[in-house]
Amino acid sequence: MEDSPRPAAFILNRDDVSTSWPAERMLLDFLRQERRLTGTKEGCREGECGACTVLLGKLEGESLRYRPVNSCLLPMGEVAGAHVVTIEGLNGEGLTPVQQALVDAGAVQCGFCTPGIVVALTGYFVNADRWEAQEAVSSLDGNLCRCTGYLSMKRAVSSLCSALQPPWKNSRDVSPAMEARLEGLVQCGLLPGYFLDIPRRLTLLREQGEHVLPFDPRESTPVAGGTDFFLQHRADDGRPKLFFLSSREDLRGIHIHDGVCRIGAATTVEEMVRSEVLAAILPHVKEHLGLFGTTAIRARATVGGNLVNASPAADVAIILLALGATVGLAEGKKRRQVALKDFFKGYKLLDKAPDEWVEWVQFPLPSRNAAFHFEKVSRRPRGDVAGVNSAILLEVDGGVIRHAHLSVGGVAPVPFYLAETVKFLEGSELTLEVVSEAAAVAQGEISPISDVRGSADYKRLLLRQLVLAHFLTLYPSLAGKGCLHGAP
Amino acid sequence: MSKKEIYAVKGLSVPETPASAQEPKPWKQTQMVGKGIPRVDAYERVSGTAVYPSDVLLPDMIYGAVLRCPHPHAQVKKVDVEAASKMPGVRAVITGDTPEARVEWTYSKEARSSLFDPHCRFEGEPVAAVAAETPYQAEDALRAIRVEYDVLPFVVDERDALKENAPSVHGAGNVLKTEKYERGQVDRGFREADVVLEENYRTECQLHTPMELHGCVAKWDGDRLTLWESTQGVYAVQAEVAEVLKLPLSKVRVVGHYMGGGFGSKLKAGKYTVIAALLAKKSARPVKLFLTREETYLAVGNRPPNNMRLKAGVKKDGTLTALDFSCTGTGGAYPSGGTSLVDWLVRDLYKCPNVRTECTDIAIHTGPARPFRAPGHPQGAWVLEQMMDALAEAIKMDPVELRLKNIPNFSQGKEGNPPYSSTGLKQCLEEGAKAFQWKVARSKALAPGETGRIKRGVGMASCLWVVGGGWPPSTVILKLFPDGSLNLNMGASDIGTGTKTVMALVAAEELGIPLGKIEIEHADTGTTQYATPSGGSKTVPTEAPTVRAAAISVKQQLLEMASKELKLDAASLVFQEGSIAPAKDPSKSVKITDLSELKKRGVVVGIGYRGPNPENKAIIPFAAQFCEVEVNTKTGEVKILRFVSTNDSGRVMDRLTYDSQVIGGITMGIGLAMTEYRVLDRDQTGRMLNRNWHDYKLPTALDVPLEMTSLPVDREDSQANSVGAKGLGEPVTIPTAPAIANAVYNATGIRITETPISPERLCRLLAEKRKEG
Ligand SMILES: Cc1cc2nc3c(=O)[nH]c(=O)nc-3n(C[C@H](O)[C@H](O)[C@H](O)COP(=O)(O)OP(=O)(O)OC[C@H]3O[C@@H](n4cnc5c(N)ncnc54)[C@H](O)[C@@H]3O)c2cc1C
Ligand code: FES
Ligand code: FES
Repeated sequence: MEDSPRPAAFILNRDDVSTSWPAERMLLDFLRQERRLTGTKEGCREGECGACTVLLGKLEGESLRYRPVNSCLLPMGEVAGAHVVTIEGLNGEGLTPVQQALVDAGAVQCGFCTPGIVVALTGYFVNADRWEAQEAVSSLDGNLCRCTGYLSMKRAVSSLCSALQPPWKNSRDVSPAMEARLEGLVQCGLLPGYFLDIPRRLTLLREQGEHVLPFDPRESTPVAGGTDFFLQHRADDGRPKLFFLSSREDLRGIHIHDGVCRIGAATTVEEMVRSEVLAAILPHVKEHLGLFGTTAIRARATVGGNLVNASPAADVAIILLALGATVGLAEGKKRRQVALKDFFKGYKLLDKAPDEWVEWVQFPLPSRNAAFHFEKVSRRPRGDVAGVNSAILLEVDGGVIRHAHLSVGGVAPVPFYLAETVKFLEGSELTLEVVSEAAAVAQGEISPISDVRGSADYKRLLLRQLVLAHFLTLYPSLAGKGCLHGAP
Repeated sequence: MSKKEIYAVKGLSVPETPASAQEPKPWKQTQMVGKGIPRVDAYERVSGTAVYPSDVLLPDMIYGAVLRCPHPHAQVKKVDVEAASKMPGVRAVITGDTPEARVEWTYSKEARSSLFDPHCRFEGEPVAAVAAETPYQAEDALRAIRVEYDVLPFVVDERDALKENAPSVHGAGNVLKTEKYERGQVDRGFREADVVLEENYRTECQLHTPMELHGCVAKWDGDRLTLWESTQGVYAVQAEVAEVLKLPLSKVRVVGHYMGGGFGSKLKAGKYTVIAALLAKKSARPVKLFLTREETYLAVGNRPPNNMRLKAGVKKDGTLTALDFSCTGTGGAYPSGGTSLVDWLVRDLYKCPNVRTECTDIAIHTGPARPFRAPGHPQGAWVLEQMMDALAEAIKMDPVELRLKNIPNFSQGKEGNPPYSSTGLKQCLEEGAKAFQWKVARSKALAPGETGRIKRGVGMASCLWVVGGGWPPSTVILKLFPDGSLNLNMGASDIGTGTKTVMALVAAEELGIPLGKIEIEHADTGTTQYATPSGGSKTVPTEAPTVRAAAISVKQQLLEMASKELKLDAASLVFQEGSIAPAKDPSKSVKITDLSELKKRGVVVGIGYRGPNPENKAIIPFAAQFCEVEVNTKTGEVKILRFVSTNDSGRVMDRLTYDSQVIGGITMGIGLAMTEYRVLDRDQTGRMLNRNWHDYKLPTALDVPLEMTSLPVDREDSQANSVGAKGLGEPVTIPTAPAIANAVYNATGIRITETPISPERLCRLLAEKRKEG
């Protein structure tokens, strides 16, 4: 970098740290090379294994939130003003209950994955209001282990969950205040005592404003979660400087206004999963987006990134297409809107000028009698990019489909809106014959190619099955009303 | 046993001490061995303080990186390193033109090559290497190297390699060798059969992908080279590096205390090891060279893909009359066992007088194979165990029953037909079926009227592993200090299987010393004793008897000391609770820590050597696995609901590490069955398309069932060795994939003869079946 940037100040475990490592470099390298903290391991540098998991603690308003993240995809620019917790930052005099439970259950073999697992699990206990074994195991969805077969880890988790109770009160209804939570966690031994002082120290950092990186948005490449970006680009290969969208609070959040739901471009998938606003509109959003990536990836991946990266099977894009979404774009002071289905123009080709940013995406609130569904089939059921995914919104009145949106991913160069099929569906009666025919119409619209995720024929077959699955899930009584051609 | 007790057991009673030159008797009741005791090095592993080779940071250390051939087949014409050498931070660049780097490399004895072979026969062959101050600078320098290639025609699929006009890998035809085996009269056997079935099968190429990457840190002190290498065997690495660099063994020290998994892919040194040493020499700096994940997909081995055919004959009563097996496979560009041991189960698992096998190893332009957990066996099991399932159905017999009918008590495949030292296959089958509730589960799954979108099924498979007894050589040294604490010194690596823990338990058992007082030095050619690599499921049966022998030597010396001190014949003395006393008069005891000669000498050194195995005995572990699945007949998705694995690996040395092996093995087998397979661009570029965990999927915690049961058939094999244990690490993964395939068949009536059992394949087969039906 030609001009040395202002040093980024943050807290690393117990220590205040100030570094002028380039903002584009990965935290993992800083930890292992610069700080010689080798408990955080490198397994892949692509967000797939979780060996590099650390907790990233950030002040959000008055509260402090820790998220497990993959340090191999976390640029130094994102740690300014934050508390970074590595395995070394959890170690105390003895073992923490998480570590002890893993040891007792024999959940450690070669041990290379273990620090990441300790950190990820600790992250679960830090975040969850109630501690439940199944959820705790799910929080390990991004941690590969080639040795143990995971069973011992699950045993460790269940013994932990039955031995430990969250020490805070009101755990049924409200989540405890930050101080109470930290105190409780320290009291259980899950976190070392120094955590109690972290909110104060972070507030101090914030007041000093040291963490604000002086980037000019116009001359920079925007990076949101970086979960696509850093897989495609070497960290410091001479591109224009990076601008980290996470610093733009105004680009985050989910709000309802005037019959539309607007999601800020820098809103993360995890925020969508946790959003009560969204859950009220899409009751199954947690399940649907739970199929997206891993816990650590969901904590970073954003809506805007998903749309702009425009992978043909992008999950968020597919869901939003079926909600009839519109994208809000900005360039300097200029603003414009474009329907999401028109936003995708060709393989990785967008209706977006190079300097234009996505500010938000919004969709009209579905009517009361509308039903929404999302299906995703991949080679591995969880934490895999879809082979084919599909979403549908249906409004049925008096046995007739009044209104529909249907999208499909993985079968065209772009996340695909099935316009012809929608046209066919709207106004048709809701019968099995119609569904079957709709699946046939859809075949005419798509152009799948064979790749590692499956052959073109298979993707065609899958689309057919997913269309059927949509209708059978939303209207189970259809199944009784005659035989679907080709169904078992 | 509570944690306190484990770490503070005081003066345990110890087993009888044999007089020197006498064989120790099998342990009767054990105090430490066989319990579920957490790892002795658990703290280091769970706190991140364990230093793995990839964590080693040395003063002044720089970083190495390797430029690899991007083509499956090419001739390097010119490597221009001019620009790269001048880049910031670059300290060394080496290529095939560098005189010191012109060394021979042996992928296999049959086909020699060189470190930077200009004739690149697979994507990922090293072409040049650099070392620079930072990994970023090293990567930049690689990009600045200009290579001119003559890109040559390739063949990356063994099914294409035998076609006429197929590009040749080594100048002649692509058949490396064909191995044949025959016993009895196969044709007559088929004539005697009531039912004869024949089927083709295929297993895809699976990759090891251990969590820790392959690589090392290399450092020279004068003419002495030290390597911190992520390896399964420090002495194997030492031998190879010494040979390649023409150094005396004593000048190569290899250290590998912790390592993050290998599964067979880290049994030897890699080219990267030698490259790191050369870069370190050239730059006069310590060099760290670890591969990227992508490089490990290309260049450090795999489980070969195999195409197999089996014809089998059975009588109505379940007697197998003939097996005729043939297979082709490929270990890639250099001979590396593309078909080795694939036919072993057909030869040896079930009683059958008439067996014929033929295996053809083929060369193609891909990275050479390396042994992968139970080489050849999961492939062979995929065939044999599905066939057994089909035969059972054809003669209307329960598949467990059919197997029980055909259990041999000697090895039919091995020279001289040696009897098994022990065989627990019957127990595995019976106890497994009982624990799984096989009969009930099967009749439920078979019940008519299942019409829903989701169908259930159960399946099982069994296996043996070709060698389970370990073998010499191995040397272990125990040092007992005057305060009663012990140092255990062995060369073996603990690759995660718990070797350190098991060996500490053996020493604790034999000497009555609490675990907390035992410290282990291991996996260092400079300071620890010779051992062969940890692999082949042989580490426990090799090292544990050696540790026991060393412990007995310590005890014998202590008895001698006590005999002098008490002025009594050593043979009349026994150990009791940390003391030695006359057997007849326990009150006249002397505490071991009070022995004056021990104090004077400062240490008692017990040396243990691994003795030979019993003659004319086959020491073989056995296993059976049962599983239940749920199949979504709309999408072809398979959910595995539960697994039961029963293993006969002799004595259970430690229940926690034992179960961990079993469950881990099943999980790896689930990977082979469901999601793991190499994808090559067979027609266009010949390159690998899924060279990362994003596109090559391992099972996660959410893909394996919560209900997995490990049920040891805990029978010590006193004929095998002095601790009674057989190998375990490999049999655990052999029957998994066919057990799943059999369960899927049970659920759907569809035989999946090719891995993976992917939604794609199953969805297509289900659709075809619907069309037919
Ligand atoms: C392990 C792993 C698993 C994954 N699993 C899934 C999955 O299951 N489903 C799925 O759909 N995806 C998956 N992904 C892909 C990725 O996580 C998503 O596409 C994610 O939404 C990208 O968001 P991001 O914020 O990380 O994007 P970034 O990487 O930050 O950005 C992506 C691109 O968009 C640009 N950009 C970002 N925000 C804006 C903006 N507001 N305006 C203009 N340009 C912008 C960036 O410049 C960059 O070019 C996975 C990725 C990984 C590493
Ligand atoms: S190193 Fe694998 S996820 Fe980061
Ligand atoms: S213990 Fe080896 S990878 Fe998990």
